[in-house]
Amino acid sequence: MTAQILSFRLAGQLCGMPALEVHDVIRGGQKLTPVPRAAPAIIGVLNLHGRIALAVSLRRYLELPDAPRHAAGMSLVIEHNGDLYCLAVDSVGEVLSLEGKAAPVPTVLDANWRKAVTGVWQSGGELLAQLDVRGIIGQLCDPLETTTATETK
Amino acid sequence: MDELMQEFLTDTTEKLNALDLDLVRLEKNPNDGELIGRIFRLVHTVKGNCGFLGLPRLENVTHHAESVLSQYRAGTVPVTTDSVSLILQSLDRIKGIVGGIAETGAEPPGEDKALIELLDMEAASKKSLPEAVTAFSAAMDDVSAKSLRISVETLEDMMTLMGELVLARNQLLPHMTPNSKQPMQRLDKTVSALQQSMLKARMQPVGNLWTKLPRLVRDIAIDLGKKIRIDMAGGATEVDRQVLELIRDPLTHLLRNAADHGIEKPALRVTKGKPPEGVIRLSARHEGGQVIIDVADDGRGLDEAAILQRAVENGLVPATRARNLSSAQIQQLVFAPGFTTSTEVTSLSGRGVGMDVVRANIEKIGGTVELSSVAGKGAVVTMRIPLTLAIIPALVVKTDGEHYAIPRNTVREVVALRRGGVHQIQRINNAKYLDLRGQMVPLVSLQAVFGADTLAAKSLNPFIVILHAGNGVFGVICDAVVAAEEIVVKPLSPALRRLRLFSGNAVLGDGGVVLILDPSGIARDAGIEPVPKPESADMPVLKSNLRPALLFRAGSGADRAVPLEHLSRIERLDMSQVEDIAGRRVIAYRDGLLPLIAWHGVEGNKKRQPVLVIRNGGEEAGLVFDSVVGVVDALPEVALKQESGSGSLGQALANGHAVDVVDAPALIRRAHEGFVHDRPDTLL
Repeated sequence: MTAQILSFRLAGQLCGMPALEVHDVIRGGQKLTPVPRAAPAIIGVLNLHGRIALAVSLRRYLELPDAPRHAAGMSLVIEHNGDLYCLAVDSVGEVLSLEGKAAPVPTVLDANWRKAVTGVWQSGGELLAQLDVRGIIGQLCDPLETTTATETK
Repeated sequence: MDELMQEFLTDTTEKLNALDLDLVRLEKNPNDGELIGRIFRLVHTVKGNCGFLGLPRLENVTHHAESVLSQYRAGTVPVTTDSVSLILQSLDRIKGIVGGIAETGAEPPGEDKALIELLDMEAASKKSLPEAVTAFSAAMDDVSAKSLRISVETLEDMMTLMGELVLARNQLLPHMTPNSKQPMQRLDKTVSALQQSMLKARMQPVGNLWTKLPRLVRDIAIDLGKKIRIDMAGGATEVDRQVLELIRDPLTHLLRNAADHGIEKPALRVTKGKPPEGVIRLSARHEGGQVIIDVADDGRGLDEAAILQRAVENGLVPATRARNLSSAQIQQLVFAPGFTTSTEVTSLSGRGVGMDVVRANIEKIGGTVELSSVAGKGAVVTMRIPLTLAIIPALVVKTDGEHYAIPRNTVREVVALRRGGVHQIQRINNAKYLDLRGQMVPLVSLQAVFGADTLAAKSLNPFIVILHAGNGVFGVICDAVVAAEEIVVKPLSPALRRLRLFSGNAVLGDGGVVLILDPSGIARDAGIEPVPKPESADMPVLKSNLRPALLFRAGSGADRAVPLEHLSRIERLDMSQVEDIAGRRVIAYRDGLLPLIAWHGVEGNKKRQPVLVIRNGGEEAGLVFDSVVGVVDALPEVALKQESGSGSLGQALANGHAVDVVDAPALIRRAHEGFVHDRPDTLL
């Protein structure tokens, strides 16, 4: 089985998500409206062709330091339950055709990474962490429900 | 589910809903042949479709119902009250099965034997005639295709695209060149017209909601042994379909209340000298950009003693104060949250069950609910709801460099704080208050609610926006009021809903996104208790209705505005010619004398001064001023109303600044009465 994974980078780490789930890739630097008191990973709301999308910093979600100010970055646009989300990443690479299955998540990962990564791929001598973007969005939308759900598992 | 099935379900559900309204009429007039015919045709159509859609249970029920109906139609079996109940029962069963199919895609399991036996008994009660189906099949609902079904999603998509179009137009407008002026204007007009028709496409008559209500009332009436008639007027009044959905439950609740608690039993009504049949009157109308729905009944009205007792029991009112409450205040208690939470609801023998929920739901969509009742005569509940939730007028405020929108219908007034001005923030410990016409209104700083750095630069001239929240008012402090705009509301991302500070977001004219504040949420978050609204009589809202005005500067203080409709001319007059005649300051002007009004002394001022000649009817007066600031096309109606007769209508917002709106008629009247001379200070 071949998986089509869109690769992107976060603070140097190669990450990825299923390419077909990505609606669009947009350049960073869009005008964001910050939302006071929102979770740290929520960096604002923005207008995407008349629809309003929630902008999420994956760096912040994974508790990585913010990207340098001058870095423009890119955003992956995802639709989840009818709402739009813009996931800010450092840069977007190519769509990789990866054979076989992803390796399970190593337990040595930090807790915040472990809940966000669904599997690990080998790609060109580098490890690619496949992120569960829908899980991340779900967790931002309803932090309580998701944590209890994982606890009961 | 395939398309054919989907279409069948939509069509059948719609027809069943439409029938509900007529069924109650059928009871009054059981032998309404036309109506029986319609029911027959519906059942017949459903039955016909069942065969090829493969719905055996539905087919069985409709088959038996059809044979009874065909006899009613032919007149071989008389239609009695029992018959009507039987018809209703059959239609309910059909509805249930259709509902089940819509949900699961298959017929729900269930036993129809008892119903079918009843139907067969009814059919056998007189000899049956051969079914005269053929004549009717020909006349089957042949409504010509003048309307078209369109999915809600398509409509919403079109609205979104429409929004984009409006935005693109707004961005193009400043870049107009002489060459592009004409096509731009045409584009502008077309876009506006298109937006209007898009909004219209979302509208539905309120009557769509009402179809189920007569049936509801009928069932309650039969259950409780009452006689209730329901009158409906204004069902064609149109309102956004989203709004319609949201008022469905509150409206049903109000009606149930009226039938359940309002209308008395026939015997009791007769002893009170009322006709045995109670009336619930439902009416809808457009008024001032809102839809007003009244639910009125001629029942017993609110039982104020019972309400008061309940309120005291629940601790809503201290027992010591209970005696002093006015009738209107007692009636308001039914809206208090928690009024109905204790013990069983039915023990309350008045009206007002669940009214707090009704109010909360209506206020959520920016509407209001009012109730008035006369003991023994009945009660009226008035709902005012916005026409649409898609586009709302809003006030855009600024705090910490960010813009936020506040729905206009939640704004009571805007108060500008100026150093040395009338209004100042007062403090008790750390709590802030504004003394607003003698009432201490609690204040909350938006900056603090948003957890911003409180050391950040504070605006020297902040604004306080007084907001409605629940039953009361409170004020939010913000840095500036930026604009009054119509905004296209979009639902908030689920990740932001639980903050409970924002009710939605919107795209502004410049393409940026703005968050919409939720006043109740902010009050709750800040832990402040809104104070009761002052009696409405002392706070009439300035009815400026967005008229053009001239802004000018005169004397000290804020800029002033005079509505253009009151402005005759601008002159430059020699102040040395001013004369004091019989207590009036006048100047020779044209063929007569013009009484003058000045915000600062004119005596000894020999210069030529600009004068605004204002008029009201045939009378004129001159306003001595310093300079013209500009003209605004539309003076917004958000305003702080002044006492009448003060010479000022209040403060309104123009170009981001508070301006004093000149009460031209009052000034002219006083200038002619010589009031200016007597008490210059009170006037200006």
